[in-house]
Amino acid sequence: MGAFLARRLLVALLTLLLASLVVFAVLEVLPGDPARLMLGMNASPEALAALREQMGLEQPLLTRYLAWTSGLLSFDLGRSYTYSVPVSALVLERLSVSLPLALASLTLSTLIAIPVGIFAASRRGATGDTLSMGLAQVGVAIPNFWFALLLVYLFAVWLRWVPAGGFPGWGAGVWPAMKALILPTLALALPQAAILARVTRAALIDALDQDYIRTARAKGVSRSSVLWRHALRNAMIPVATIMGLQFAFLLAGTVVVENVFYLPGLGRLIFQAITQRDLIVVESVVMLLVASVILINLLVDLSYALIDPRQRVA
Amino acid sequence: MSLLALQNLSVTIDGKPILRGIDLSVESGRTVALVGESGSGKSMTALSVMRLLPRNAAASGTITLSGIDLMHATERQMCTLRGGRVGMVFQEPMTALNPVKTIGEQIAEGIRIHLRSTFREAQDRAAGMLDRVGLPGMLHRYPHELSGGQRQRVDIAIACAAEPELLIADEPTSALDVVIQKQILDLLQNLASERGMGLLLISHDLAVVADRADEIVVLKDGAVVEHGKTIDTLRTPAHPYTLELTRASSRLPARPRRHEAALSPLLETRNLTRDYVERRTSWLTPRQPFRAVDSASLSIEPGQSVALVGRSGCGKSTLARMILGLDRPTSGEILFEGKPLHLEDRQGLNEARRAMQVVFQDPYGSFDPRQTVEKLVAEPLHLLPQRLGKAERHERVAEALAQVGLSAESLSRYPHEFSGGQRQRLAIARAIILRPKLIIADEPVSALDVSIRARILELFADLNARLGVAYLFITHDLQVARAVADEVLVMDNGHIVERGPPSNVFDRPQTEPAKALVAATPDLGRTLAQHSAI
Repeated sequence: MGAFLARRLLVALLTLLLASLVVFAVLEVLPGDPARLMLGMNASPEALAALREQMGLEQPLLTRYLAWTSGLLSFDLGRSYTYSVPVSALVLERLSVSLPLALASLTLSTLIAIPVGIFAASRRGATGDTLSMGLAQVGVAIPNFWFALLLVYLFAVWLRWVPAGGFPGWGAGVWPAMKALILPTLALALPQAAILARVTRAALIDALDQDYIRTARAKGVSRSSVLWRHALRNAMIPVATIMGLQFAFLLAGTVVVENVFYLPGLGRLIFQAITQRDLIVVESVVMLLVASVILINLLVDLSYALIDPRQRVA
Repeated sequence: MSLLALQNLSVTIDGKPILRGIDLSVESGRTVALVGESGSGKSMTALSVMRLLPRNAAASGTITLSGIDLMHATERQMCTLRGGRVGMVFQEPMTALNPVKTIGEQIAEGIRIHLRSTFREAQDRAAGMLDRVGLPGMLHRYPHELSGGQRQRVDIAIACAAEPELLIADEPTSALDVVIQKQILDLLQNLASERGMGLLLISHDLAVVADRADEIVVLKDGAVVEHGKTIDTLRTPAHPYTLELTRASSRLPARPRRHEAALSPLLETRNLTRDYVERRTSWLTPRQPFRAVDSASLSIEPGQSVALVGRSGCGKSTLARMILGLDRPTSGEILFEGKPLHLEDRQGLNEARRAMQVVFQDPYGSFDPRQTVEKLVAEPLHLLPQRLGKAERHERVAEALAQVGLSAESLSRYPHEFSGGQRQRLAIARAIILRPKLIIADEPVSALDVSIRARILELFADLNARLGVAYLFITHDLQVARAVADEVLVMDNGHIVERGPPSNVFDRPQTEPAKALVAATPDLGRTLAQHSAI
């Protein structure tokens, strides 16, 4: 297990290094002047020169790469060109919205999906199964922004329980901030839960059809215990895989839902940075997201090893 | 009162009859063999007793265990009976154990359910059970760390852990080599006799059960065709089907033309060796190489049929893979028609492959289910230097199918429409379509029923006589080797330890591995002869 852990960590670090090279290369080395790209075709030569100076574009490539990566490591990400604030502050501020939102959505979707999946699998073909999977089918089909609008209409406009959008910031108190995140969490979690419930059900049914289930039944384990004690753990590998993918999506792929709720999240930041050609922000946020995806994958790999002893030697 | 009694048991699956009025009984301390070919309903009978039939199955009739009516028992009652009073061992040891739990946990689980013991007691009992089945100290191992034979021992330990009165073993050794098979069957019988259990032993192989079962029940198409004392029944079968089975079990195909010595060998290997680097167990110790094949030298003459026999894991498949150019030898040489084979020499390899084809064990897994027979059988034709036209291709496939006894109308069908035996014919058709000089057959009949096995072996013998194809048969089944081979090579731990004509090797084995193989091979003729001598 120790060797497995060490090897995975090493692979994760190497991936991170490679990713930083690719991100750097794509944004800095490709033909075209980043400064001109950021300022547009009509920029004055003085402004261009000033920006080039500020971004350190005059220095050799290696120096720039090393400066950038050492900046990343010390969380000094430079200054945003459009916001004129340190990128690190910008990212932290957005992360304080996106991270709680992603964690809450993932937790909620897991809490819904796994029990529903187990329920459906244990009643394969019965009404409960058909009904819950029919609902899940609807959940998969509904676009999340439209679902978000429905939630706003119902809970914010009609019932007036929560605000329709915006984020007061954690400085305004924990409760108002959480209240602002309730609807976005629901809007993100429910469609994810629908997918995860279907995956859980399919993986469980697959596990329940294996020979070792028959062995367990033949030694006198009841139908329900066989599900909990033998099938569930074997079914968790695909579930963990999907959860990993969903968490990565929740961190950065939520720009549409963030827009519906006027949330200052990471998704909107990167979207705005791209449209405003704020390369410094794009570079840093992309790298941050790459790092978190690598971290999530590492955690998923570790969960495989915890679930299945055969994975520990790989 | 019988321990287990089945009366007029019928089972249908989706309305289709699977079992038709089975009568069967097992007494305490006795062994009853339930014999039949695949699809005859053997496993369904066993699962009916356990009440573990598939969801779409419906059963009628009566099943009683020591007087308890199993057909009308509640699910709760069944849970205490399963494992508690009836233990069951299944066929596939590789998939029958939960991969994420230690074997200790899996044995202790049944003990906790039935004997209501504490965790500690259950662990202790499980450890004792593992000692009894010959796996001491393996409580904390996971299934993937064990071999097939060891896993089957674990299955037996699970089935016997709560001291049931009846043990059902459904083809417990079909996936194992003969030496392990003997060990497992001995273990089952010893456990049954020391605990006074009734044993219902299910097998497709008469030879396996002949010297172990007190009684035999022969099943065909879901009905009992014959039933009686084992030796009497096998010696003088009353039903033609039983007679057919006994004949198939001991029949040797006639070899119309025996091989005559040739001047130069077709295939030769010289000191062929293959090392595998084992998984590193720790970063501190160096990797240990594992020698799968050690200086194997063999030679096959044109038209000669050579059998390579040995236990699972002795290196015979690795040797075959190297000859086929699918694996790289660590050292040594392979000569085909006098020319050395190298993996780098694509052209030479292609030429050799045209003359050297292969038939694999599993007739189900070796075909792409989405391709027609015509495409599948025509596959090796790409090795020809020139492309064949559509008509010519069609003709070649039809000819190959005719050679193996399949009609040309099979051409547009798909693999799933064929039975196991027919699929193996397809595999042979695919192998002979290039008119090869050598066919390497890796356990080509071990997945087939005895009657079909005999017919496929006859086909091999016939093709050898008509087309002059040489064979390298890889098998752990000495009956097969005896049936088809001019020469037998016995392999053990990577070495070829003994070689000679089949009559010499099998009747007067010289080395320990050969002796062990011969002693472990079930032989119906020998068993019946022994019993008539008494």
